[in-house]
Amino acid sequence: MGLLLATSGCYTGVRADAGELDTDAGQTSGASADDDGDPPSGESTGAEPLDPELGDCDPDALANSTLRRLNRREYRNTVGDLFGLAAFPDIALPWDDLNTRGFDNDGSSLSLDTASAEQYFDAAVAVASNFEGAGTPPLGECAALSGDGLEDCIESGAQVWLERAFRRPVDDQSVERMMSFVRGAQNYSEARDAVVTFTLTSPLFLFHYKPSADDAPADSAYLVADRLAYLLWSSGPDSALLDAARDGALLDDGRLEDEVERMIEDPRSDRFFDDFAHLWLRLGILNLKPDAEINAELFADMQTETRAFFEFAARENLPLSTLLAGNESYVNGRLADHYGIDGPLGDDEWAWVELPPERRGLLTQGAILVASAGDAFSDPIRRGAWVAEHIVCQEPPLPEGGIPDLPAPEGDEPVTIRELLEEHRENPACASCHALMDPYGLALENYDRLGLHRTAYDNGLAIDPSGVLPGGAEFDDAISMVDAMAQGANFEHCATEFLTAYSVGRALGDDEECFVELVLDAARDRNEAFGLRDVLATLATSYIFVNGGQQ
Amino acid sequence: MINELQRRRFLKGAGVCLALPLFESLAGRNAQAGGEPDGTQRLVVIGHPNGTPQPAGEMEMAPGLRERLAPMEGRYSVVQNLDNSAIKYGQINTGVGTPHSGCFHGFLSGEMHEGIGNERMTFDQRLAADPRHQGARASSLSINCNKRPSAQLGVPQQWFNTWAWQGPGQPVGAHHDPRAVFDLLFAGFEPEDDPAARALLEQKRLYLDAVLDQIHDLQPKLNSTDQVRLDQYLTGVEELDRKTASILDGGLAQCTVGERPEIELNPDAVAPPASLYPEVVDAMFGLLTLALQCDATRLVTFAFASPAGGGSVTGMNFVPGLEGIESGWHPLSHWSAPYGNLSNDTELNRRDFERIIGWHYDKVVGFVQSLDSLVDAQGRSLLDDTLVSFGSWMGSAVHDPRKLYNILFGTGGGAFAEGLTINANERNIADLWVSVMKGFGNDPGTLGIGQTGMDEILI
Repeated sequence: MGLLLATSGCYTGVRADAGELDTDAGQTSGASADDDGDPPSGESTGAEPLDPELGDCDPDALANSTLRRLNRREYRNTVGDLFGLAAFPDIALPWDDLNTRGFDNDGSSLSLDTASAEQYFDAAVAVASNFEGAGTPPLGECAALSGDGLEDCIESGAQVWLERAFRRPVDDQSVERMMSFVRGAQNYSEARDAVVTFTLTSPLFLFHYKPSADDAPADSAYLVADRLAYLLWSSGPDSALLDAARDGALLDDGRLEDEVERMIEDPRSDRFFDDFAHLWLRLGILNLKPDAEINAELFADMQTETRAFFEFAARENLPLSTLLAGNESYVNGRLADHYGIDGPLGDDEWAWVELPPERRGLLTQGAILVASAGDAFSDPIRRGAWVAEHIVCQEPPLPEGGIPDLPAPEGDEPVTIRELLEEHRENPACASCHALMDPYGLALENYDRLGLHRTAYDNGLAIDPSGVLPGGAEFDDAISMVDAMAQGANFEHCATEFLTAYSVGRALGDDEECFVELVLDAARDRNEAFGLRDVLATLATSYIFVNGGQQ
Repeated sequence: MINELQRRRFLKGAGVCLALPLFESLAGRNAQAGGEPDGTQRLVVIGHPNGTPQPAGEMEMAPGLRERLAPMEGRYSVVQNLDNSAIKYGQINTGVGTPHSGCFHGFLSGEMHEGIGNERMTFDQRLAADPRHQGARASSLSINCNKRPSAQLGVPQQWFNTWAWQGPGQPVGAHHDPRAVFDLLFAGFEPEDDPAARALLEQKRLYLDAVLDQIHDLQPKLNSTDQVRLDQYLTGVEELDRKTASILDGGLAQCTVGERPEIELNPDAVAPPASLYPEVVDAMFGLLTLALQCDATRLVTFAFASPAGGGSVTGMNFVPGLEGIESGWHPLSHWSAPYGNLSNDTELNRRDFERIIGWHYDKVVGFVQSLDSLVDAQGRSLLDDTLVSFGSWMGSAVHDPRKLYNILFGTGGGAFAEGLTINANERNIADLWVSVMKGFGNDPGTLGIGQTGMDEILI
């Protein structure tokens, strides 16, 4: 484990901007923005088709796919990318409730009622009226035409257009349905509205679904393209991905890994890094805190820091454990002041800085310390449960009979929360569960509710952050705990499990752990000190992703 | 595919209706021979989180609450000494989020879940499925003014926010934004006689036809679970189609609707800021009154707030924005024990809690008063056609789901008795719903754990 920056080569310490990434994308792939409507010729390598390894896993343990609609993020991005909208119109979209893992892309949590149907219809009409479709097939080149010429023009591009929008092969019936609306149009403007409205209200656009096995096995490449695009871009596949799906080359040996690399280099992958980190680490909880308004700027800075840290470590493919143990972070003047460290002076200036000895990685960042703390005090039990759930995926079950309040201290002598907890843990039923979470929370007691470092409580009592991890490793404080956690496999497994659940759009069942292990094993084979890019590459070719995605 | 020409012909023949003043329209609605009701029954089930105070005696209400009901004296019945179905399933202080969400779930279905998300069909949705209760613009409406904004370990967010369910995995989305409710119920409220606007609506129906055709084509390609899910969307699109047809058919000609509520809600938030909560509640009740008056919906489930928190000031823990109330609603419901950041003054806490409950009683009473003030030519009020049920799904303090009371306003079209005080003798809330369904002409026999019914509420 080295310095975050030391392992990152020549990185200059400024977050890569979109322009830089655009250039990279252009170099890695000439096809990413190729939307001219001409299906490029197939480039199948003729290699062995993808056959994900099953290892010792039971294929029957793989949960059924579930139909799901686009969520709001996906809808806005997809429509924005399809039509090149400068800004998504200010219109209501159906609500996205979160699933058990805190993700907003689980079909079983997404409403499908009348209000949803109406909002989708209204959104389609609103997009049509905001449309800037020049250059978008099958419309842009038809703009100057009218009458039969207009109709023929749109019809000639309809197949390609609908394939892109629906992310799957399109039959003649779909084209005919769309054209029946186009034919009623009096001019280009009406024809354009017809195309937009038909496309965006179609269930084939709105839903991810997996046809039953006997329907269209040949379409599996399209399903993988769709899944991959929504994982990395929160949007539909571009023409390069669709081309590869159409001719089957996408499932050729090695091709999916190449696509993952290409897509990560595309600026649209910013959405993955932002959204996944935000949802996995529940950064949104900061906005729900009682003091969210008072601390709005500070909390926003904290969220920026954690997202930037995650994105950097992930994009640079630093060893996954860097997320826990990296000793640099991305701060502005306000955060540097808050942490009491040297850094930029202004609130608008951001820079990567080396952290002081008392801070390392995600767990000592403000966003995590605030999100995991109680609303009134640091609340080490809550923090410990947060770490157990999100960082090591070993959350203890909720106790029978509800969660009792901690007993009030007896006598006038001030006591620490550690002492109160020790009394509570004299009950063996409580002790077994608390051993799974308290050590994390007590180690983080050196950081108050807002993440400020401290060595003693307000009442003067010293903080003892030492403890023993559930696996038996002893530690003196949060820093040595983080080091111990970084050396263990729990974090790697947990992060991969969250990523897998996000990628397939559902929480994983206990029986599906084996599939996560397969992804991890493959990542280790690929790179002993594997990073998130390794995990993404192996995930994309894994059994659970290729076969068990929620579509 | 539905024949487009047929539809166009039908649309062409649809007449243009003009808005009628309220009074005549209600007369029109109810003007049957001899002034008999036209059979349209309306139901509003209202509930609040954090429990109502449970006095020692099983046939008492908490101090002050009877007085709150005084404006409706004689127009309501009280059912007391009710159990929540949750109790039969051991949902007292066990498991995730219980008794709060445990008492919320199963409250309307009489059955507890077998696993998260497997709520059974709730009785309001059973009524909504009956053609006799259809015909309004929205077959049912679900409201939750203050949702929980987050999921919790092992529990999806909808579990905390959805009261009405069509079946396992089929939550009925609850609305928290009055603007969305307005749009759902009243968009196209004015009968559309502008030819261009009518053409757009006709066009909309054609698109909806195409959507329905595509759904039908897609159904056989899916596994059975996905078919159920898609079927839910199919139902939604069909209802939207009916609504569009009703606009073309003359809009909601019976009444005059005001402006769309102007409330500054963050479009990505699922709960209003606490300071806006009273405004949201007022707007919702205003919309509900109009909705019933205009026959825009007939079946409503209305939760004031989520049964779970998700943070110390969110969901059920929110501070409801009433003057002088500084602690959260849920902490205050535990006035009698040291709890969270509550003041040590337990009497003050208790008074604050009772003020919150009292405020909600006032809002419900104001709502039923407004229904009662809308009277047709025969002197029948909208409340006469309506049954409004109000109560909490649990008790306060220790949140015992026993000794609950539920207040029934109105006669639901002459089916329900007013002015009674009924001892449920520990029968279940589901028994109450069995008899409510009977009163609506849909005797279910039993409803989950509701086996005996509670026919005392019927005339």
